[in-house]
Amino acid sequence: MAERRCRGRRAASALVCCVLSAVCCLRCKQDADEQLQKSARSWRSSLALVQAEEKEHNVPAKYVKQVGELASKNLSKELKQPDIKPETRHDAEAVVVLANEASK
Amino acid sequence: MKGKELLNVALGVITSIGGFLEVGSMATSAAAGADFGFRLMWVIVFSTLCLIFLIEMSGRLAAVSKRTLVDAVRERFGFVFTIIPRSLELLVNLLVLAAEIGGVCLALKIVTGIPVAAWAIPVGLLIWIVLWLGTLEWLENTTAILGLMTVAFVVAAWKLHPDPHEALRGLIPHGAPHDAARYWFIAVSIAGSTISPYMFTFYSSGAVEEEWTEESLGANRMTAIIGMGFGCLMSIGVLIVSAMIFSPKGIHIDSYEQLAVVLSPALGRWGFPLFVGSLGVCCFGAAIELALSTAYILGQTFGWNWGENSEPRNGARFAATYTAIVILGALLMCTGIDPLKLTMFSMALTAVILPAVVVPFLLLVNDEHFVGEHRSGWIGNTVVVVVVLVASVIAIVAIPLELAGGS
Repeated sequence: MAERRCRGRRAASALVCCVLSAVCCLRCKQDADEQLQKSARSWRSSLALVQAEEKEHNVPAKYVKQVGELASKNLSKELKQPDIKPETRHDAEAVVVLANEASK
Repeated sequence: MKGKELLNVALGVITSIGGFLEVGSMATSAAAGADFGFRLMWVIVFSTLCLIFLIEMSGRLAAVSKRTLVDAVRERFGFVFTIIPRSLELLVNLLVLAAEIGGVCLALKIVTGIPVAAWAIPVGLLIWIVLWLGTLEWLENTTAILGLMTVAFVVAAWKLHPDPHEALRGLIPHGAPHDAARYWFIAVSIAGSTISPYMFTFYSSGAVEEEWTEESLGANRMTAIIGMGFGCLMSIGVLIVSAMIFSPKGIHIDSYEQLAVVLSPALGRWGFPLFVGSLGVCCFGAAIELALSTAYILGQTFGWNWGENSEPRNGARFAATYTAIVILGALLMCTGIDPLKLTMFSMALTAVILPAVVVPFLLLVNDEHFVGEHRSGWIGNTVVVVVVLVASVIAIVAIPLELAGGS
């Protein structure tokens, strides 16, 4: 009985160790600059896609406006973070300008 | 198989296909396609395989023992033990219901431009009216038949001509190409959205309400295999379309609004209304199932009168429960919470609680006292145990990583 309990404890400890090591291995906080680069690229492409579909009359103008507003809101929030390189900031600001135009 | 039985099977299959996609499977499959191309397709397939076994087991348990899953767990393990899985299920149901209400509100927002929070109460009220007035069969069949418009995702995927070799490669399990935390977080969210405990609670309660017998076992098996199998195709359709439209452009899904354009390149003018319709109808159907499932859980745990086919006055506490959960879900959406984040988080949380819900269930469908000679085979037991435990362990690791913004 005691041996079985001991084995159970060992298995539980091994599981906890595996989980913790996976957390330690994978845990790596993404820096704000890299995140903003990705967001800017993603929103630029999103805006281009919806505007292209609007030209084909596949989506309504009201929808393009919503995507523009979201892009502007999300990127403006991310731009407030510290540790952002000037070129990344410049690029993101350019997408915000595009987004503001789309949201008009 | 006689004509009437065939009709029942056909209806069951249509219900399963039309009801398969909901806000969780749509969001998780789209996020998977946008961020990792076809690479997470295997998770949809494995999760669906597990769901097929679980749905078949819950129907079999209800048909043979004439008890619902919740009733049987209470009888076998006692009231105190029943409280644990049911409390977890209730918490997850509330979050997922809020996400489904959010999905309907988003569909309305995309069309009208009026914010999600403003739609939450009217949508909640509409869900409640339908629940109050409808019968189980009517609710199931109407929402499922309308839900068939999700076939649009499969048609769009077909029209986009994905590379078959690359798509088939997606069916083979493999690790993360980049952003490991995000990859595994989306993987467990897909598992959570596919293997939703509310689906088998709802299914077994429906089987008891419809008075299934051992003669229904064949139809039950066919409904589970064909219905869920084809339903899985809808999720794969969403993943493929998203992978082909968003992934090459580097579009990362930060909001549901970005998704609304996904069908347009393939389906032209039909794409936008079909997406909005699919989102609204599927989330509405799933919200109804979740509210009912929650009422079933409480009614069966505490031994109240329960049943959607009876008048609300004959099951006052049952009706009060779905009323309360719909109000809570709608209020949660009124707070301005991000529907996409809520969806992804609640789906991953579903994966965490799966063992607590599924393990007692597995013991029941292998207990002669409940299922007689119709015990589960080793293949079904193994698939369910492996998928559920692996999904749960990965979810425990992936959720904190995702919350910490890990990569």
